[in-house]
Amino acid sequence: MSDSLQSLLREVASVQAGQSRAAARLMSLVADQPEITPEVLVGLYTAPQHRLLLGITGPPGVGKSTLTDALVAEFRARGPARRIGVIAVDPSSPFSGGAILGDRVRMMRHASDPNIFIRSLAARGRLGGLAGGIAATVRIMGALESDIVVIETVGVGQSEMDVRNIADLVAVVLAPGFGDEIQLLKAGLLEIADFFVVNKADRPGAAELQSALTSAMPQQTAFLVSATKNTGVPELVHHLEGLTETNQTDWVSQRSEKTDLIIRQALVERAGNRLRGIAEANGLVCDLLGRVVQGRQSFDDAVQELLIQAASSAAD
Amino acid sequence: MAHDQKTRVLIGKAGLDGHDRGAKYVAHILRDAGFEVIYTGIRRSPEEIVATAIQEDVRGIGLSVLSGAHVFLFQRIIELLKQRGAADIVVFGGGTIPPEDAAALKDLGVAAVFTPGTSAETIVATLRRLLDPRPDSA
Repeated sequence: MSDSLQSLLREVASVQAGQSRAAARLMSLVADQPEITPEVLVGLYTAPQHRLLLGITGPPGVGKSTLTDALVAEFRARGPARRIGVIAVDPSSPFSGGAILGDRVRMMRHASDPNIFIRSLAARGRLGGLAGGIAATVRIMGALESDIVVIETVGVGQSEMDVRNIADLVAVVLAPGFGDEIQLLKAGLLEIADFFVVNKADRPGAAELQSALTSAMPQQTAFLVSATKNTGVPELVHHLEGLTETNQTDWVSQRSEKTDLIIRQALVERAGNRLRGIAEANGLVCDLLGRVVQGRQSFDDAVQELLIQAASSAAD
Repeated sequence: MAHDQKTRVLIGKAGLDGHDRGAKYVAHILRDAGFEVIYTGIRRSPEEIVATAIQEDVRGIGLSVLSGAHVFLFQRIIELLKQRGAADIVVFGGGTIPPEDAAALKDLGVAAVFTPGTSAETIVATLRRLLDPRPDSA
């Protein structure tokens, strides 16, 4: 592990929440090198963690950023000491690899609030609606003592599964005028929702969309909201706070299982990579191949010998 | 480990004028040149711009100023960056800035001033040079 990663981790782990530069640096390092995610998770293993990680997804143009902005304002109004983190993911250009990250434009009223940390990320060609290393980015937000973290996904339709895997709750945001009920049913997006938000409630068709959702997915509540007019937002936040209270114990244990899984997989993957490297470098595999195909050594014996040889070279 | 390191840059407009064509144009050419551009929109205060630049960990801040208040705005931003220990963030600008003011801005520490008519190639080449990836990145 590099020295700069080590020192950033130390700095973030000991950070007073106001000092955010080291955290911002560490987020860049993770975006550039998602494979350091397990190191960050280990380094911040005992750091404070968020109480609610809310995923916000839905098609482009339904008002995800505006809703995020309104939710953040309402969360802040209810808890003056509360810190909030926002991670907003936008697509990268498939041609240049560059990106314009513009979600912040809708959230600029929070820019000089020291209790709000907003980070824009580019998806960098990754499918699934989020950016690489997102688990580490969330953990860094927790270390900054964020009480609530909101992740806004890219929002390109049917590939938004990543957020389901990481968030405590997923809101699927829809708005009237984006296709009829059949579109909804085939979208493949509905199944990942813990609840729905029908935004732009002031527009025609909003109530119809809400009832179509309720009949298609009766288990999930559909909230009618106008993020720009702030109607329905206080009710939604009240609901979220209730769920956070009720589920906290479960979420904490689910998160620690997910963290441990990432670390476990990384351990095995890196050991596997080193084993491959060692086996190829020494020509060991070629020797074993020769003996196995000529029937001079059994397959199982060859595997055993490979592991023993690799272990002794790894120890050098 | 040289991985997928992208240069991040903030593009925005400070001050009270609302003409954002220049800022949006620069945001597009930088995206097409492979930069990650954090676009903040119009009428931002120096405080908002500096707080955003730090959270977004950008290498550079580019401001379009057409209001004539450029000297004050740039001065304030550079001062705030110093206060927050972020003086390594490169500041550059563009807009209707008279040549004598451009010289004054450079004295303040503004690394480049792009006046109307500067080609996209020049802007990209200059910023590539000014915003080299950090030497300390792992």
